[in-house]
Amino acid sequence: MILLIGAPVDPALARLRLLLRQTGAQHVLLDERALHDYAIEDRPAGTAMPGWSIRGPNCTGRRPVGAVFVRHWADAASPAALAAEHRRRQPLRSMLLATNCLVVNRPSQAWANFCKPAQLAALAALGFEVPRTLVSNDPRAALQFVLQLEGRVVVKGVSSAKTFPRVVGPWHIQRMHRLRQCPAQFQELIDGDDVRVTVVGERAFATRMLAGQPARAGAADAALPLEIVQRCLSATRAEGLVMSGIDLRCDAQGHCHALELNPFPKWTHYERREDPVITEQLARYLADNQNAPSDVWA
Amino acid sequence: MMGTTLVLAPPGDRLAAAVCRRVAHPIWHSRGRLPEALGIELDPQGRLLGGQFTPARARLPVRLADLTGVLFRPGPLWFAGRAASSPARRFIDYEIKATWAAWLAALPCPVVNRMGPSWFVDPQGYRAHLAADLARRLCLALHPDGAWKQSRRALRTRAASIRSAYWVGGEVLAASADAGEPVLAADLQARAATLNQWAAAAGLSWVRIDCVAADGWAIDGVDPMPSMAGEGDALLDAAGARLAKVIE
Repeated sequence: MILLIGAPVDPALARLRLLLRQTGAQHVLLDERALHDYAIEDRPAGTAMPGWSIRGPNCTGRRPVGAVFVRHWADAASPAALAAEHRRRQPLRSMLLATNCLVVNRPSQAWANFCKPAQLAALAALGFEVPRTLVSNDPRAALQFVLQLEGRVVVKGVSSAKTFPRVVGPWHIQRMHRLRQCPAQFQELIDGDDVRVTVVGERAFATRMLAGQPARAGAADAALPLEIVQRCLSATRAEGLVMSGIDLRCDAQGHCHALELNPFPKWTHYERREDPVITEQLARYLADNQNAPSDVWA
Repeated sequence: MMGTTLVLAPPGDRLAAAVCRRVAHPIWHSRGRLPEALGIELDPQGRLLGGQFTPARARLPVRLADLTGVLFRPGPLWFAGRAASSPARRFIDYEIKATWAAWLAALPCPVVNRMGPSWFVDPQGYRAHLAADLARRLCLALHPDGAWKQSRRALRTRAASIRSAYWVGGEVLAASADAGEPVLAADLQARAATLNQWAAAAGLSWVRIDCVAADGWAIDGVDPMPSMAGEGDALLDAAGARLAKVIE
């Protein structure tokens, strides 16, 4: 059985559930919005093997789980609520850390994009070309970088917090002094189209963005040079992940720069509802790679 | 400036002081803030193209390329979240943490310890991950709750059944409280090759390992940023000497 962890209102999880239902794959949802309704026990009584039992809505604690898919749901508004949610999640985190089940993706291995420059260096070490990058809290260094690249520079956040990359313009130049309070990341502007590569296991799908809108997703090896696809697969494995969303900027000749790797990609944005190739591959992967004997019962 | 060792630690840190006594040109940055004029530049192959910073109370910048090693021992409040702060303030705190992580990752010299992103964002989960990984590699049991315990637990308040040892640059040192009966340290030293592989994979040169004697040892916790508050001078000297060798 496949255990889904998250919120049913998450569009990505909802599409996966729909597909699992349609294909007849046995699955159960642990609704994280009501985590307090679940009892997650380690070393459940009456079992010889160490493991975890989950009891609560839809979960009897008796059915063996072979694969887990997790997309944490976070709607806590305040830091205090966030801390309380964090505490409630601890048994779940403990299980996701140590279970023998396939987990897509283990949260403990999904922090690499917290620090985008470090992730860029890791992607470069795998053979990707990356944009020339400066991280700084020094207005003079940032201005010098912008001058060196004749203004063809994008500014964005250093962390995984949501920011919107912008080409540096007069508005940013006037506010460079603010870097002393909050550092930022400056990157060479690379020409080309944005391409999202979504990796699921040993398969990769490419979605080219055209005028900000995703085109039809298809097999990545039909759209990109083979060595780029291989690097995307390697980078995902190197991070200890099964699934990832890798952002590339590629020119017409297929020359690509890597921009970042997202460990919890919102893949539904990069496939068409009527042709859910990524969700199909994910559902297939979860169904085909279940571990036995299980150490989780739900 | 050639051959400079950078120590990032709060004032009065005894281990940092022990390391500074043994290295040639230490710079001690003791403020819990990013140094001024910090820059990290990467080329299209992800290599460090340049970078510098100006340490606290210094006038001239130091080039990252001139550092021979870095000891990273942040104070307990350096990365404490400001629970009551505004979303804007929390965003800035997050960006600053990511910049620290970027800085440590980019340094082209030995860093003790070169903490990765997960330590900055989810230290408790990171310690649990380390403990589970170490237990698996050493084929030891993992104490059920131990891995999720709070860090920086003072040794004097530890449970009587817990034994502790430090992995310091390839050598195991018994915690001061266990110095008279260093059984855990000896057992871990006998598994030094496995410990070395684990530490190298995790990018760590320096950790405290807590174990409980059950049917053999069970890993109770791993702390990659151990407080040395309860430790004696002899241990601090020995650890400082080992760490100085790693970063000089």
